[in-house]
Amino acid sequence: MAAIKIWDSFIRSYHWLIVAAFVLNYFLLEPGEQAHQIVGYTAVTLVLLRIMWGLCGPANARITSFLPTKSRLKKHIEQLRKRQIPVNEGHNPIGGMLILVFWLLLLSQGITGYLLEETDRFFGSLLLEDIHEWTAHLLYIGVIIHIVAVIVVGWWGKVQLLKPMITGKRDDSQ
Amino acid sequence: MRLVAVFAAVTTVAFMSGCSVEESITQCTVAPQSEWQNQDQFQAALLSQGFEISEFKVTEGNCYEIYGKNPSGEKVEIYFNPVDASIVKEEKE
Repeated sequence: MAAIKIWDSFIRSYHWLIVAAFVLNYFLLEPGEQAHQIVGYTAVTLVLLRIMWGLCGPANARITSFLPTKSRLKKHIEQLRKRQIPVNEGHNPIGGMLILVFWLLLLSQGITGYLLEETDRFFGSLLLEDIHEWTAHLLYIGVIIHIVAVIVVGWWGKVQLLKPMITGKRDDSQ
Repeated sequence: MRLVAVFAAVTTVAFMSGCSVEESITQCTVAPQSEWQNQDQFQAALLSQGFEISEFKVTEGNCYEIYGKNPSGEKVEIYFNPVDASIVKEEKE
């Protein structure tokens, strides 16, 4: 049984570090406290590195490889219909859409968090705090969509999704 | 590789437990609201001590929280016990 390389080590580390950052800041750390800020800025740095990796990294990491174009969406829907996602696929175009949303939400968390803590104008601003909170809830909704999609698409499309994100490789059983 | 797997497992467990565990928010009192200080008088007292208040909030953890500056001009975020006005938690920038 051959194994196909899907995710490089940067992508995998990035993915699980973002998971850790989200869990810490959404569930465990009190908003506004020092640790929450450090975790938040770390997450922003990770996203910026990820975007750079998306411009110059390996094929599956590239933004251009998962931008949701019309033809890609068509192809993906066709593959879903046949219940066969290609064994060598990285991000599918719908997942790609969610990635872009995640980046946007994570970066706006960083920006609103920064304004709330570091600027006199918005220090503790009630409005910004609401925005910061609701962006966090949107992120959580995205996370749930992502987890459900990984389970459903993996089963329906007969493709290994979790293992490649842990080991980097997908078993080629065909 | 095994490390990555362990890390993944740990974060997943943390994630799942997070669903049932309440966020660790600062708790200031269990006294009923009737025993709390009047909000306006509380803020007026701080102002007369030299505090500047940018925002005042009543938190989910039953605290009076202020964002502003302390009498020495430092940016602070302080959680007060609303009954006796003692400082429960303080964050300085």
